[in-house]
Amino acid sequence: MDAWLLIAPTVVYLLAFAIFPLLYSLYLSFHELDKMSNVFEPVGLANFVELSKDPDFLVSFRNTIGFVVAAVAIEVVLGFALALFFNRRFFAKDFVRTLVVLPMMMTPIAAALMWRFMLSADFGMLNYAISLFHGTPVNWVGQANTALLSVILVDIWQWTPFCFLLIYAGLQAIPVEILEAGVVDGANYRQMVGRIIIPLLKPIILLAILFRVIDTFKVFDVVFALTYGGPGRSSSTLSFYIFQNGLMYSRPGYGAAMSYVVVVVVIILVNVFIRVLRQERGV
Amino acid sequence: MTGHQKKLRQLLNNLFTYVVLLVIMFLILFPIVWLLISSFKSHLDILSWPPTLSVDLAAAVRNYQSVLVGRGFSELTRNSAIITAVSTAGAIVLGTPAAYGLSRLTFRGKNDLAFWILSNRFIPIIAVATPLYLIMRGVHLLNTLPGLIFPYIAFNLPLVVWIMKGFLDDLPSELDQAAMVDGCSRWGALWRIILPLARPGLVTTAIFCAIFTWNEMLLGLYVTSTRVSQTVPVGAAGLITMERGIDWGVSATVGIVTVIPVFLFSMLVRKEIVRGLTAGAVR
Repeated sequence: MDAWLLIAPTVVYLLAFAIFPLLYSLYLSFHELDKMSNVFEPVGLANFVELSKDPDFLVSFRNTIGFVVAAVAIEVVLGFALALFFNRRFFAKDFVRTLVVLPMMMTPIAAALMWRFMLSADFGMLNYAISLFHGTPVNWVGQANTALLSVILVDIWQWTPFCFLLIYAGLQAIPVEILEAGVVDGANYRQMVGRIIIPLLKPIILLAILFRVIDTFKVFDVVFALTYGGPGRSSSTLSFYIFQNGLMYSRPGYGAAMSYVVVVVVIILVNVFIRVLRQERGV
Repeated sequence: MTGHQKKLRQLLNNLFTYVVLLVIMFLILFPIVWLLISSFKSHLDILSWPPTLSVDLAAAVRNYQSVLVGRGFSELTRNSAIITAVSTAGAIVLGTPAAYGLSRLTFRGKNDLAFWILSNRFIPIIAVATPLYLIMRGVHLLNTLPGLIFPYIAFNLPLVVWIMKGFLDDLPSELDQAAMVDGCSRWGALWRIILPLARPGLVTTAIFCAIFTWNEMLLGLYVTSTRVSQTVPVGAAGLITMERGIDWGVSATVGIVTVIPVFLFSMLVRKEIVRGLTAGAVR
């Protein structure tokens, strides 16, 4: 009885405002908005057939995968390196750690605006730095082969701190005796990292990767504010293309169908994530 | 190794630490500082090449006045503050009893339920945005603050339950048992004994809900289209899409106005942030 009263409100609320909209979206994916009558007409599987042949969808899908793989790989490696670095002794460590956390608190759209001042072809500070070394300036956000890279860069700037915090916490949880035993056995630094630290941190690194993969797979804000998916479709991601269909092109049904591709991928990843987490905690 | 060599090595080691530290701080802080400087410049000064450090107070006044008054960001800030406060409070009121129930009671499928609640945290907003738009239109809540508050409570709930459950697990259950022996009900025990002790947990949870809510943009783009109900990130998005020939001084100012509340807030509560970030994953 108590269990029911304590937990039911949360469950009911989630069913109403999370699960119901999610199922509603599935319903919409088999419909499309009729522009004349402004009602949703059933279209069967037409939306799903369409997306399988839609080059814009396929490019957005490929961009999303590229974005996820590049961003998460770099974030985890840098986060790990940063965590090892923080094991050194230095002045005002707590304060520095607060600063390091700052990027992930930042409103994504503001971070994207901010990076326009770094990456602009006309007045960007990155090109200024390049010009100081007599390099060739690059039109980072304005050309097809670097636009997605620019989005990746902003994500790395914002979310490396997250990987760092997780991995650093894991690092500090390793009992000192284990590390001391390694030193006594004559292990050098590289062996310590490769044979002791990385194996012990494997679950945490795996959780950090999964967490970031799930989040980056849904990337929207930075694409929207930094490149608007362009030039052409070169930096368009799934969320961005779905958004355009839902809100700009009056194709909410088609958008819902595409969003279910995202939902299915996320459900699979979340199940893996939760399995790892449960294994980790033994529940 | 002589003592002299040892000292030299130590010195080089320290030098390396502080050089790396400086590079890290620069990479994190420079973009933010440059955005701040740019908000004190006119559009033309920003475009001048090579970039200068000179700021122009008259331009700064124009920028901030144009953003806060002309583009209504003071109104948007108020909307964001109300939406953030109410949906954070709502999620905590709903979610804390659930966290308590999951922490203290034993029933079949408890762990599955806990992980199901957590998994709601990962629902892609892009997949529920159109349905939530249609639902809010149906109940006449488009372009109102509750139109965003209700969904944001749902997005925050999984985090509340998860973080609070972690904190409550750390409080010995003898405490509430003693209270119940003394004649308290379950709810009385939660209210009088546990909640006062769990205050640090509540603070951490509130911070995370607040930051998420403040930063959210995608759903806002769907559900609100007028200043009366728009949040700060949605207003910033409007600047990017609606205005041709963007004024860079104004756009830098929008970035600053968007993040200042978040930065002030996170400086104020920095200890809790680090604790909370690591709470969920490393326990």
